[in-house]
Amino acid sequence: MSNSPTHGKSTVLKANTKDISAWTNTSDFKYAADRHESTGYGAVGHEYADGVGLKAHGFKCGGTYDITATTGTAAVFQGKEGTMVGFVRRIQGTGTGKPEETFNAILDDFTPSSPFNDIVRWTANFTVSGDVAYTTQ
Amino acid sequence: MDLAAVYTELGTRLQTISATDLHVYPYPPGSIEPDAAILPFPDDVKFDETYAAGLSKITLPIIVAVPRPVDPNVVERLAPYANPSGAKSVKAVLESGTYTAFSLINVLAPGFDMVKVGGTDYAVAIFNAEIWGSGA
Repeated sequence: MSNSPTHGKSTVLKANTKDISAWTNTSDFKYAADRHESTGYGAVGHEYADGVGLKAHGFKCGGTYDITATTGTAAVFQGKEGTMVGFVRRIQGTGTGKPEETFNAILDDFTPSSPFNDIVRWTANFTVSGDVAYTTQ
Repeated sequence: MDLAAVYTELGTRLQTISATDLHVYPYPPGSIEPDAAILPFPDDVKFDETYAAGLSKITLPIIVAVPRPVDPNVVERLAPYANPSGAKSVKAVLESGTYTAFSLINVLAPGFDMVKVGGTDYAVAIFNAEIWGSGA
């Protein structure tokens, strides 16, 4: 038996073609789908159709606030609420044969957080539009 | 961040406090001449604070030593370095500097103690500096 983990530090994340990896330290893709209920009269419990629920993925990410004017946090996300962002996520990093996920997502909220005793950080939540395209680099 | 470059730039910046009154040792010295600013080894170095080795963090003690108290003037002598502002303020001078070896420095409030360096006792203010910079 073997175990071959991959380390999160290798993850690459691009938003609208800009590589935001250097100021990102968390990203969570929630694979989800709606349930399509098919319960009829006489059923003793809820019943659901198999494989027909719409995909309803979610995505969130966050990190340290980067003050770079053109490629930093504000340049990429600030004022973009409600708009579509194109993501490329390489969870195992960049390299031939490694997986790549491509998806579009609506920016639901963007939250720069400024504690008095630490560096400024940010989080952003997205609703994925459509499905994810899985490719191999 | 290149650790040696960080020490060099912090030492250069500390030297601006006073070229004659403050002797700067950007390394752990065997002996010192007071008043002295000393940069010993880091307490903590963290790599990979973000993806792609984008950010590293160094927590570094900064010690200012003045002669062991033989009279009440020791507080008066140490205070200008320990205060949050002023021409000799370690916090104010370091945080207002411009650096290329790292991106950001935050100097925390000091603690105070008596320590022995090279067999001689000194009164010291011990700061902790949080330093962030490129993970490369």
